[in-house]
Amino acid sequence: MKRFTLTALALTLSSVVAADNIFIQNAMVHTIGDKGLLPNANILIRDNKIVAVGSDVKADADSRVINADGRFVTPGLMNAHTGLGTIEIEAIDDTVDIATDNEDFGAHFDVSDAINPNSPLIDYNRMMGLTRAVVTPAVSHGVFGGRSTVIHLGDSELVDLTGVAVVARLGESAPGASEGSRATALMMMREAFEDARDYAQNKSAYLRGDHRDYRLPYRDLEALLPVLNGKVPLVVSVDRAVDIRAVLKLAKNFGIRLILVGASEGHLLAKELADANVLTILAPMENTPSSFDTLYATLENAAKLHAAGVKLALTSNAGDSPSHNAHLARQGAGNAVAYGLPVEAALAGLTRNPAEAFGLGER
Amino acid sequence: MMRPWWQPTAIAAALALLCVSCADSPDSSKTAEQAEPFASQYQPLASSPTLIKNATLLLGNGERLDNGQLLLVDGKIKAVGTSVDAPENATVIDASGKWVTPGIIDAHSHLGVYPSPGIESSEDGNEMVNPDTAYAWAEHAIWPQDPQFPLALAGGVTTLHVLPGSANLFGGRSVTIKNVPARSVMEMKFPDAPHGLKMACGENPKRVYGNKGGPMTRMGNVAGYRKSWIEAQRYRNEWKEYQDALAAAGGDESAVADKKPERDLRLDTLAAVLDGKILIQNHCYRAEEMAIMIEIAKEFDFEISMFHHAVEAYKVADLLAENQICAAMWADWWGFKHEAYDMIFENIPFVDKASVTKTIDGETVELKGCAVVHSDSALGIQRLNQEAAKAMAAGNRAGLNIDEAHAMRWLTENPAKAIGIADKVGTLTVGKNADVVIWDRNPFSVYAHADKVFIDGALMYDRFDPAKQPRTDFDLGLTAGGMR
Repeated sequence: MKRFTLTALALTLSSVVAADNIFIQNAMVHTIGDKGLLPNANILIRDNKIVAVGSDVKADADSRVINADGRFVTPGLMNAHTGLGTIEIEAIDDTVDIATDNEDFGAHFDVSDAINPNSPLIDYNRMMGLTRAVVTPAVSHGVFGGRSTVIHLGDSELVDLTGVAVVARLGESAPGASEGSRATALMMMREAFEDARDYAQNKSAYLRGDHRDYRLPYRDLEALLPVLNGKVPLVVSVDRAVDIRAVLKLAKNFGIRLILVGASEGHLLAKELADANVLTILAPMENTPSSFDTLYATLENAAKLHAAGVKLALTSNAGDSPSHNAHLARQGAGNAVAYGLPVEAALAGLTRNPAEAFGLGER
Repeated sequence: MMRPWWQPTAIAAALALLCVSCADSPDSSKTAEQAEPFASQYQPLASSPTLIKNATLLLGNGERLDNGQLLLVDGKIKAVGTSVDAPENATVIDASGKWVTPGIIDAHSHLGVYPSPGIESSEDGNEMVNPDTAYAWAEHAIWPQDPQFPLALAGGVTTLHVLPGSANLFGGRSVTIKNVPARSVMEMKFPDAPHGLKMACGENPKRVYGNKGGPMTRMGNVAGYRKSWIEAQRYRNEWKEYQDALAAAGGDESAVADKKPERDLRLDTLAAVLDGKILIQNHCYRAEEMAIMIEIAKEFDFEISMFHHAVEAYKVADLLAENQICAAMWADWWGFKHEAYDMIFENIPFVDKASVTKTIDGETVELKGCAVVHSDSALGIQRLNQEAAKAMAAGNRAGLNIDEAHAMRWLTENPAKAIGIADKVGTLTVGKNADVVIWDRNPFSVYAHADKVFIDGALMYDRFDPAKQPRTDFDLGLTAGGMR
């Protein structure tokens, strides 16, 4: 437990907004970079930026000194799949803004306008180690849920980057599959990207009223264009191996950068996921065959995918949008390690991997 | 009759005392003629004497024994100590570096009644047709082939208390089962474990019945409980009068046949609570509602064994200690509904540390809190040790001095007490059932695995032996997977 409970130091720091000069000494530093784990290291921070990490790094005259006393320090943690800022109490609809029920809004739906920086869940999750999170809109109709937002839990405005991904869902729980067959959802997705491509080529004709109609509103097609041109990823919630294979093929055909959420049966096609370089967001503790899409769910999913070369991000709960307990991604990481995932890979899944995939790598 | 509800062992004491009135109950009148229906048919698997050596033993009662030895013979714990004499034929397990605890008891589970996969065809936990379905029994809906049972076993869970859901004011009878492969629930039923009666406070009954004739408010909830208890008192008296008349007639049933009340399954359950034979297991999140439920229990002269979920138990920890009511809690779940909003990490340790001193007839008694860590989840049940670890850490951050030996009570001794089986399991005590877990390290680590799990002395799970990793029938034919 220790490894994942003593990260609070770094977390508190990264939430500091006012300019601050800090020197952390005697820390076990997980750099999550080329330097790996540095025992007994110091960290020098000037104006809220890390400027040096190492055993020979010295404090500035004006540094505020924190003695870590041998405790672990990590980068601030990031949960790549949450509903933070859009959910106060899940059972009370009026307090939940994670999905739109309006069928005129699908891929275009932008959850960022709903994100409440004063939600008490924000301070709470920051206290528990999260400094950044992706807010993933839920899919309530069709196959697309809308556009994701990255939030910064130490920033008073909270919203950091908007439109970082377009979200979709496949499989038995996809609203699109309620029309008889999961194949419907795939057909809808395929048609949407074909139409988006067609729309991109015939935009002015369409807007003049001089082109065929599309099933989706044109603003939804517009929202799919950054996915088609590779600027943002398509995040797909999917569990059954056959659906994962289908969406891999679809992504390849359209040249889409894919991120998966859930992927309970991902380990059955680990090599294909690795070959396609698909970031996979897992909830490592979810191992029950809770539906016929997750018959092969296993606690070893993370370790098996990692061993095959799949990049992972870790969340607390793949099914819904984790909110109050989004920080339990830490416990998930610990359990993934207990079932074979290397510690460094687990930490990367809470830091570097999601940061890179959602456009924060530089920072 | 005045109940000694203030006594430290109130549940056991109440049970013993109330057996004086057992003959009054409708249940006992029929048991004379016919066998108890749905009785346990559980048979421990064959076992050979086993000596576990060189282990760190957490006894489950708050004590720790380093470099300890534990001897299991004929399904019972035969000896505990640092040097134990074992029979020559005993299987010796060198548990150097390993930790040994009693089998974990989950005091709040829906395994079998809400199995995986979670499909409508097998959702059998909530009889949502009436606010009072005290006539329903969870055991009649348990699917022994739920693939979640072996997952709980791999997490060290040897005993489960399976409850009906919380949609109703009175959900029905709960049942305590052994976590063993079986064809029927009778083959799982924990021998001589009392039934519980699931009651529910707050939001759920309101939500389910608000548009179906009520209760629509918490006022309606409380009126509903009281109405049913009044009916139960009347029913119990009718049977008592009949028993008295029968006795007066020298046991000649035909002579008093016209006085024999009609049996009512719902009131059978409630009357058995009033007799102290069925334990109240009360889903209740908020402090003020727990206080109200305690008033109702006093009004109708019954005991509440445990409040379940009890997210606000810390606010009434003294009241719970004074009334000797346990609280079954999560370490950190909150906010999924309004009544679960006011969670604090220290809930479990604060309930645990509560202490009330009372003077009864000139005698001073210290009444202590009873904290239980429960799962209510097919995922949580696989790692109740981690749940306890989080709560222990929260308590220690708050300045309480809680060690592993003490926190283990939340998973073993306390739930055993709250579901009425503390004389049989829950501690590594000579004579108790040999339900034992060998952990590969300190079980309060997120990295800990249960290496071996024994139930009644028989090895039921071995992390390194696929032949000792049971799967249920549901898993047969799933050929592409390895372990769950």
